Amino acid sequence: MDTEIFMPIRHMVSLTVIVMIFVTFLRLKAIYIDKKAVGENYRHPEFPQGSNVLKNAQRNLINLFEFPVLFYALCIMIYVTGNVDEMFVSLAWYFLYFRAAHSVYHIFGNHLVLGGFPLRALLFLPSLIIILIMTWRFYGMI
Amino acid sequence: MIFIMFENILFPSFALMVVTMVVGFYHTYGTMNLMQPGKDWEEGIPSDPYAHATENLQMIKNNIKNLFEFPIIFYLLSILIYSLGRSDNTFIYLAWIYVLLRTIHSIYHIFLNNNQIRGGFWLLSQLILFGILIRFLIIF
Repeated sequence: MDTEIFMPIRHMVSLTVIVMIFVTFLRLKAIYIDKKAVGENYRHPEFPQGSNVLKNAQRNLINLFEFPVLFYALCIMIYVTGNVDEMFVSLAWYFLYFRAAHSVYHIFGNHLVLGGFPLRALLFLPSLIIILIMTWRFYGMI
Repeated sequence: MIFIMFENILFPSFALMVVTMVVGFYHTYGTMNLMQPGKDWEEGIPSDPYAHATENLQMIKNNIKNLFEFPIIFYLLSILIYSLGRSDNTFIYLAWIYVLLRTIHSIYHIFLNNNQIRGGFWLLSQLILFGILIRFLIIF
């Protein structure tokens, strides 16, 4: 059971690598195929002239190095203190599902509803709440 | 309650995680607030939100970025100290001081943004983190 907590981590890392490769591909496409980004973009790779998918993917990649890092640290703490149980593993999987859905929607959809509300927030906030629940539950265990 | 907090090297990490989550929720609140009728983002979030955000929202985002930089080393060190059984009172006190300094740094960054004072707290927190690292390397 203990090492099962690493499976969602493994998939989160895979998701991050996939987004990173996708961003690299889109950047190279913008430079060599679309000819939209040249010169300075190599030095400061923000690609303001790039497609919306590229901009979204870049922002999503940055997001994947924010709260998911807390998730990694928390899962490792749960593991080293020997507190892995089914509940933690399930929460970790749900975190992965929400983050994966958030990434896909952020990159390819990223629509606004109700006069500007970003729909992706409905996928981000539950993932944040899951980390909060995991932190609170773990705090009660040690 | 206070005594329990000083029993485990992982508690300061918890506290810093909670601080990070609070800043995260506050950023979401700030974003939603900017999308209210009559505000800058009434039409929706721009494609480059940071460049078009208010200074206050930019500060919150900057602070979130900061909280995912050196504190990651702090989490790693805390986990290593715990899992290798090297935890003692000195490490725990240093860890709490680090969390306290980072929390004050966040408050200054978001609400006051006095660069000199904020920089002072940041520098002190870095010294504490460096101290934890060096002590860990010596003991290890």
